[in-house]
Amino acid sequence: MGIDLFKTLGLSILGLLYVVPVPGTAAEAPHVGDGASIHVTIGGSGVVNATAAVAGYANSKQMIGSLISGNVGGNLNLSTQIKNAGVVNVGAAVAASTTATQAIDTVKLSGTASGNVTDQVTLTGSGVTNVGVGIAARAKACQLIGTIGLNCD
Amino acid sequence: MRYFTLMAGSLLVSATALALDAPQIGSGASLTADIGGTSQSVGGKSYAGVVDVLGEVDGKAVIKQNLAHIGDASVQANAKISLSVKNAGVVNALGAINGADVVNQSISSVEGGTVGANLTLNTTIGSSGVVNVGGQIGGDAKVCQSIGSIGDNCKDNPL
Repeated sequence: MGIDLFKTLGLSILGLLYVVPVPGTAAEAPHVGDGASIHVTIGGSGVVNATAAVAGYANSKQMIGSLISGNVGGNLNLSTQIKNAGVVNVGAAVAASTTATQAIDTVKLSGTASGNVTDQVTLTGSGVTNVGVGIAARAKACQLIGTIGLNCD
Repeated sequence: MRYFTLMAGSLLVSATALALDAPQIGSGASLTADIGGTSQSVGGKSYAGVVDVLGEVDGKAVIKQNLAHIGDASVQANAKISLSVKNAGVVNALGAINGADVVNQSISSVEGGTVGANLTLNTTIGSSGVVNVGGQIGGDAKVCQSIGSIGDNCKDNPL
């Protein structure tokens, strides 16, 4: 069914693909030197973390152009441009004890930047959505755009 | 392969569960990945596709898709990562996710390790679909997508 679907869509399956059947080893938080620069441009596209519903104790986290964790030893330049595009974390409902977090061009969190931080976001004709449908029970939906700090405590 | 074109300049998959030492990379490392195609077309448009897992995933599986990515490495100064996805579909897991799964899609990112000064990450996504999970998600699954980012988006409580 899936292969037929992709043939219909005119897509092929190539590249470096793998499923690891056991939990992988977690890398330490990165250490990055002075003058780090991140530029993201999304145009006329759909970028989606989860298209369908999220339930149970699941967590859905989408980070674009962001310092998530680790240390930057000097200046950090972030810029994100989204034009005529749809950026979605969860396309359907979130329920139960789930957390849906979307961060775009954001400095957070457990990370540090010791120099100047430049943070620029441009959204033009675009839809940026964290949760596309309803939220129920104890679910949390947190969206950060061009932000320093966190909002999902 | 009737309609398909895939041009992948280079794709770097990060260190996996394999027992490998972390790579040591010198100054001026440059990693470029172009996903998209122009040599064949359907109705005047060309398509390419990169998919990690097509079907349903259960149990305690770990599904990771890394494109133009530095995993756990030591990289000296002036490293540059450039990723371009145009007229393409990039999908990590297309089916439903159940159980205590980890589904992590990391594109043009630095997940761990040490990188020297003047790191540059450039990401361009145009007329494309970039999807982490296409199906329903349940259980204790962690679904993490990071594009053009520094850090590990899939660790517990990063936000």
